[in-house]
Amino acid sequence: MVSSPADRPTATELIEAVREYLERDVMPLEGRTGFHARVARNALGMIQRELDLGPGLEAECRDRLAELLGDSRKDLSLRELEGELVTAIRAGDFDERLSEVAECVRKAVDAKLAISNPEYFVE
Amino acid sequence: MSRLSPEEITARLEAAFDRHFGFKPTIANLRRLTGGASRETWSFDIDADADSGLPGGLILRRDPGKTPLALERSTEAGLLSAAYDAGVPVPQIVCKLDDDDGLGPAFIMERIEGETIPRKILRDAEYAEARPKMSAQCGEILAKIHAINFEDLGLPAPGDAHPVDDQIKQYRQLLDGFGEPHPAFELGLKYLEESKPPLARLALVHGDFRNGNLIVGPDGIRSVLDWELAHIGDPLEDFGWLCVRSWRFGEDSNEVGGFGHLEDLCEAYEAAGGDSVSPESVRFWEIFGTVKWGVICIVQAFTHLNGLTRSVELATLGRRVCEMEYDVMRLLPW
Repeated sequence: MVSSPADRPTATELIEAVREYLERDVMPLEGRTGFHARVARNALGMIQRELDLGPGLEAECRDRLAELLGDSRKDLSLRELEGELVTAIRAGDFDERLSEVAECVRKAVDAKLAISNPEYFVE
Repeated sequence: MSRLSPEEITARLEAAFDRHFGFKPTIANLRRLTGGASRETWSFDIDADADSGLPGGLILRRDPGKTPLALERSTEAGLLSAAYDAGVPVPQIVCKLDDDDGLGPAFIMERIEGETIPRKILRDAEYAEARPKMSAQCGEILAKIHAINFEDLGLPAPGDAHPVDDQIKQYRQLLDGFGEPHPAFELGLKYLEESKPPLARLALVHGDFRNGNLIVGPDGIRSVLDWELAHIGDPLEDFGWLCVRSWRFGEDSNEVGGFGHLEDLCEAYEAAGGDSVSPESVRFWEIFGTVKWGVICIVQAFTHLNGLTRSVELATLGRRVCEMEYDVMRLLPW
């Protein structure tokens, strides 16, 4: 639940209402309109999962990456840390620790996928 | 060239037929087709008389704006003609349009009836007999494409370096330009750079040969679409791309487009005159294709975010990028 001064419907209830409208009235339409309604419905699922999981997953990813990159990086944002990691991988700084890097990157990708499309996970 | 309303397109098409063929047909059933989020494909019918030699069902391909990573429309039209002559199943070009037609870079081609929506091709009973044939058909078609003489097609000639080098460089630049770091793709590019197989030969590569760009009937593949990513490169690139997990549309155990197996593809390719291909050598190009599709999704999402083409479809492609990151991380050896 997002904290907010707004009246009901809550963000979740609004998403639900829009989703019902798309599924009932728009998705059955032929062609691009129906197809885009399906895309829009899927986007609502992403927003809902992001509201539920986003803050927790972001903190976990950030902490893991800060640990990998070293203590001096502990105040950087997740985006900044990922930028540093890209630079370091390209420079070959992690060539001796690639499986460790890959492990960290896998967890970060899993976090994004859990929000955007959890059905895509294998196993 | 900007977006045009259906009425404007109808009027300009009528005028274009008048200019190129000397008659003004009635344009009917004009509708925009799903697919090709940034470039426009319109289907329409004309009341062509038998003397004109024109088919009644036609397709207009046009660009509302500039798209990176894709060919000019005129080069695409030339490629389609060359493929047609080589016996590749493709629509025949009816007319290349020019600036005076007012439709932007565009051409008109015959409309081939059939299904392109992958989920229907993979699941509908109508295509149950087509599916087991399609992997071998792809092999045969790819052998024909890779045998086309690519010298006079107007495609940029590759330099002396391995053809993958230029693309790796291009993808790095694109990735850096958007300011959204993707460590998974950086690992993928590092692997590609360090593991590239020796280049056996150069060939015309379709560049987007996959489920979704094939017109399929109950009898199998009827046409190969979307030549706009064609280039000169390693023919195995088309094999890897066809096997990228996104194009399996949920049928993950069928590694070729969700409909078939790599062994059938390679066997048919060889039988049709193509080089011998080992399934292992396709893996490198599957990783390459997965990174490439991830980069294209980012480009597409930013086409929306930068305001060039606002679209919920393009926007959500940005959220599909992590699917390709996930697949790359599954394919890498580390």
